[in-house]
Amino acid sequence: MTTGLSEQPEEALLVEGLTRHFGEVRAVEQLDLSVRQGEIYGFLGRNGAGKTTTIRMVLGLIRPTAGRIRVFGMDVASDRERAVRPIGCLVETATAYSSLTVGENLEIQRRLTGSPRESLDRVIAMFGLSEFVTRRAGKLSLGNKQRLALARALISRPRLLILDEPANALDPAGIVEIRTILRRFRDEDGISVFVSSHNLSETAMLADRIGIIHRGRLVDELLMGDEDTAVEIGVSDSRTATRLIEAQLGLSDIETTATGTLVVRGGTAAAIAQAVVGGGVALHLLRPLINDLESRFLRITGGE
Amino acid sequence: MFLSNLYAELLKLRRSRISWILPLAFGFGPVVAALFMLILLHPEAGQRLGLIAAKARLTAATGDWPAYLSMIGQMMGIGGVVIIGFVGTYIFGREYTEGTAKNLLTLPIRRGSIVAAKFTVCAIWYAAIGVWIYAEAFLLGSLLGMPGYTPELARAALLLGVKLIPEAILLVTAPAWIAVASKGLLGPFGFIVATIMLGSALGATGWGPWFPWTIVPLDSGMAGPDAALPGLSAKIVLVGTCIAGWYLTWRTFDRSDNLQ
Repeated sequence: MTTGLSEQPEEALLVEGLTRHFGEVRAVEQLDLSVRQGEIYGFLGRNGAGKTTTIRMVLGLIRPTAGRIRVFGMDVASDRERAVRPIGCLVETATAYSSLTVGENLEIQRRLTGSPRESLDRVIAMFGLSEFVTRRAGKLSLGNKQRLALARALISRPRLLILDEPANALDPAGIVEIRTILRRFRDEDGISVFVSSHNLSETAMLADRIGIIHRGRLVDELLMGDEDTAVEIGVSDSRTATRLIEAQLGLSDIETTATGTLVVRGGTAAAIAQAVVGGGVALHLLRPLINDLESRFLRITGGE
Repeated sequence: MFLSNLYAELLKLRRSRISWILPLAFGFGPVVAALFMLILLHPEAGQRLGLIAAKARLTAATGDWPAYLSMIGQMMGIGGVVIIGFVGTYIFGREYTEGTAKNLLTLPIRRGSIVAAKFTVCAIWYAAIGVWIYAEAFLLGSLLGMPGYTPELARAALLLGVKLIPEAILLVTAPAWIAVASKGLLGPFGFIVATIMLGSALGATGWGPWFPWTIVPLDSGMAGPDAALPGLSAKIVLVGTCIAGWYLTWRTFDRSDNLQ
C-alpha cells in the first residue's frame, strides 16, 4: 500500500473499512479489498449481498457511511473527478440515450471523457457495432445495448474497468466474446478489471482472484491459479495420504468424498501429487476442481 | 468541458421528439388567439360557433391588433411559467427515466458543469420557443388583416416578450431541482400543478407579486391594463428563486445518493 500520491501505488483499487448503512440496513460493513494492477478481480455474491452498493461507492454515485476508497492512490471522497478519470464502468443494466444513435451515444462519451477521435472507431470495431452506428439505441436488442455500454466504458482506454454483471443479457457467444476482450485488455494493456457477478462458473473462468461478499462483508478471497483451489485425488490409501499431505504441506482442509476420493484445499496439484507419491501411496486420480468454488460459495454464504 | 457538456445536451434535445412536440403544443396558443380575433372580426360567422364565440367575446372586446397582442403577451406570461416547468422537468428528469443519470454521474467531470450546461440548454430551448410563438403570432395576425397595427404596438409587444422570456427562464431551476430530488418526471409535474393552483389562489388574494409563479403572469398584464405591474421586490423574488433552485439542483445532483 502506498501513502503518497506521487508514488505509483501497487493497487488499482484499494477499499478500506468501507461501510454503508441505509437506516437499519447494513448494506456494506467494514469491507476491505484491493485490486492489483493488471488483475481481473471477480466480486461474487448473492443478490443483495452488497456488490452494487460497493461499486456505486467506488464510482462516487453514493457516499459511504465510513471508510476510504482509493483509485491508483487517489481518494474518491476528496477528489472524485480525478479519482474516477482512469475508470471505465458499467453499472447494473446497460442504459443509453434511446433517441440517439449508437454513434452519437459513443461520441458524447468520447467528448465528455476527452478521448481522441480514433477511439470511437476502435470500440465500434471491437464490439462489432459497425452495422448499428446509425441505429437509434432504443431500437437495439438487449445484447447490443450491453455491447454499446461496454464500448462506452472502454472508449477512454481506462486503466481500471469496473463492471457490474457485464454478462447480463448476453448470449453464450457474447459472454465468451466479452471474456476474450477483457483478457486481451488485461494482457496487452495491463488494465485492471473489477467485475461483479453472481455467476460462479463465469467468474471462475474470467478472474485471477475472487472475493466473496456476504451480507455486506468480504467473507473469503481466493486465487484462481493453482493455489487455494481444490484438488481431487484418488489414492490407494486415504489415511496415509491424508497424513502425508498434512505433515508435508501443512494442509488440513481435506475432505473424503462419497466415492472415497479426497478433496484437498489450499495446495497446488503438483505439490499434493509429490507428497502422496513420495510417501509411497499410489495415485490414480489427480483433478483440480474448478467446481469447488460453488460448494465453497454455498458453504460460506450458508446456502441460504 | 462545459462546451462538451453543452454539445451533449443540445444533441440529446435535438434528437428527442419533445424538442418539436412542446413548441407545437404551445404553438396552438396563437392559433386560438387568432381564432378568437377571427370570430370578433366576423360576428355573424362566429354566432354559429356558440360557446367559442362567447369565450372570444369575454376574452377580448374587439378584434384588432392591440387586443390580439395583449392576448399573446398574457399567453406568454401564464403559459410560459408552465412551459418552462416542462422544459426543466424534461431536461433533468429524462436522465432518471432513461436510466442514464448513473452514466452521467460517473463521468470524470464536475457535476456543476453538467448542471450549468443543462440550464443553458433550458434557456436556449425556451427562448427559441418564445421566438417561435411571436413569429407565429405575427404571421397569423397579418393573415387575418386586423385593424390597429402600428410599428410602436409591435415594438411594445416584442419588448414585453423580451421581458417575459428571461423572467420565465428564471423559474426553470425549481422544477429541475424537484426532478433531480425525486429522480423522475412525476414529482416536478406535480410541482407544476401545485404552482398553478397556488398561483391562482395567491393572485386573487393580493400576494401575487411575492409568489414567483404569479409574478410573470402579472408582468404580462394579466391583471388588466390599469393594474400596477410587480415592482423591484418581485424581480428580486424571481432572481432569488432561480439562485436557490440552481444551488439545490447542483447540491442534490452532486451529493445525494444515486441508487437508480
